[in-house]
Amino acid sequence: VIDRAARWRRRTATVIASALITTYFAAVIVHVGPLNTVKIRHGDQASRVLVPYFDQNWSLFAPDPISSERGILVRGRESGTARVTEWLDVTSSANSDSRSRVLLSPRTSRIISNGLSMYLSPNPYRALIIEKATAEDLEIDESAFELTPEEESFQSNAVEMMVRYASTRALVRWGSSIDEIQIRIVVHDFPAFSQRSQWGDVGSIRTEDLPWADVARGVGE
Amino acid sequence: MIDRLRSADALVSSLWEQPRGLVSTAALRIGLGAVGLLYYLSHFLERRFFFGPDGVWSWEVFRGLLSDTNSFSLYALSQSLWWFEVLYFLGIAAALACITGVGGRLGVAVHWVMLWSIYQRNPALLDGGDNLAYVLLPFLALTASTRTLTLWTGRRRRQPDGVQLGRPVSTAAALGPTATFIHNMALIVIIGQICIVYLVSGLYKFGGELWINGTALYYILRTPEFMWDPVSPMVFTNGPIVTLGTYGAMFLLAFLPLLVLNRSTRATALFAVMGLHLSIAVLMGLWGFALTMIVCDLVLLGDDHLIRMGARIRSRVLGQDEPDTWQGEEPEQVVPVLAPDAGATMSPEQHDAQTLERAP
Repeated sequence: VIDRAARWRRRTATVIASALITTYFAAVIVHVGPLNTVKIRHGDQASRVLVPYFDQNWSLFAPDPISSERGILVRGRESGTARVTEWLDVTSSANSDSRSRVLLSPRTSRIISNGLSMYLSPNPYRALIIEKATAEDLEIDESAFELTPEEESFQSNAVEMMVRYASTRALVRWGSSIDEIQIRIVVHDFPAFSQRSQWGDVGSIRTEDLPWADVARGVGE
Repeated sequence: MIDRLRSADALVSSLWEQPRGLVSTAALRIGLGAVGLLYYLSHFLERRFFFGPDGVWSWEVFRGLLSDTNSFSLYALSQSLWWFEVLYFLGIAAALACITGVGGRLGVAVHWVMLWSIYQRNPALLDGGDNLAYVLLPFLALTASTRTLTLWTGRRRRQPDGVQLGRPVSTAAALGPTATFIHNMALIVIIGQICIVYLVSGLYKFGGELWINGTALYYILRTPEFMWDPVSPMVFTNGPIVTLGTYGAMFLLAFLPLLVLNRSTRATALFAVMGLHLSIAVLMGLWGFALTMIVCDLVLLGDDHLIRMGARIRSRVLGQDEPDTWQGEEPEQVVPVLAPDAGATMSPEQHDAQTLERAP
């Protein structure tokens, strides 16, 4: 049995805590929910409540999963010489690294898959809007394709990470005489669901070569 | 009106006097500790490559992103290699403290600080499981998650007045009203947060063409990063399995909060979704993500189910009696003299007798 004053203290505290929890959930719903009028108006406020420590994103394999195989190749050269190495696949080995020890596999493959996501779509919303507009044959302003400074730094962070990863592999493969590397991004649209019996066939392939970069030495030392 | 006020008051007093989900929160603590530990151990051999001062996520990028997001990481305090090594090992220790319940709330909070720090050191490696872990850990630190299922309670259960594994300590007396209130409110946030994850991740899929036409599972499993070579093709080349699996996952995820709200569908839905997560672990190799989600599923399952499961596991695996039937009075011949854990099935008198015999 508790006295009157304590009872009122409990009631007040319960009301305050409930208000805080409601605010938290309202912020989460606006923050993780789809783009709508509420989000356009209050999205920034929600982000102020949640970012960085409660930042979250639950579009897991959604709205659509990536329906292509993405990877990178690397080649190297010694500066001042015309000799350029062949392309080396540094993606398959990362993928098998990440399946090597069941529960205890390192996440090597994420360097490439997350790196490429960051590079290829630094702002998924914008990519989606452009894609929609293109599909509906709408006229798109040139400025829609220009990246914001944040998106540009997002991309360059991703490139730097992939260069650092690819450098370690290139130095192991060709020795320390290599001083420049180039990354080739490969996007392979594998056979679609309707051709699933030939799932291993090579579909259409697109590539993008990043500019030559100085090899990163001493990564991981 | 007065009735309504009375029931509101009853709710208030139960929030202050009745801690709910003590086993659920303990399970979440063990699970998030274990997932953190796995993260450290998975990258242990190449830790300098993934997180070190000269790691693959460069120091400048790391510092730049930290100041952009107004966040912290203990790894940013010094660029020296020994500081990195010290922190990495402290991180492992904090994960172990979280698993075992050592340090109580503080242990959980320290685990969050260490985990947040390593996540920030290389955010490119993270997935939805890590995201949910770092969101839930601060709330978990507010709960009384170290009331049961700790090293401590494990030892205590051999004492006559102790609790059985998976049985909360007699609660209200052990936990003050303020601690009880904070625990309950934090538990509400944890459960609500997990439900939002399911709802949102399910609903977003309804907006995807590949999910709507029932082929998403093929594309996910066919991606080399998530393909288990001999096994996955058997699954993703099978049309009916792909379609059923795609639609099944969409509906299960989006409707899980509703199915959990309803007592009669709760356990079935949660075991189904745990099966989904287990297959994500096995087929796609996403063990960290899957284990995090399974632990959250256990939280939604709730104390009653967990206690019963714990009892069943105990009786099957360890050959001990179910706590539900344990009354502290066992016929003498049941006590196996050679059983290493015989104390757990003993009556207080027997326990005392054995303790006395062992005393020097």
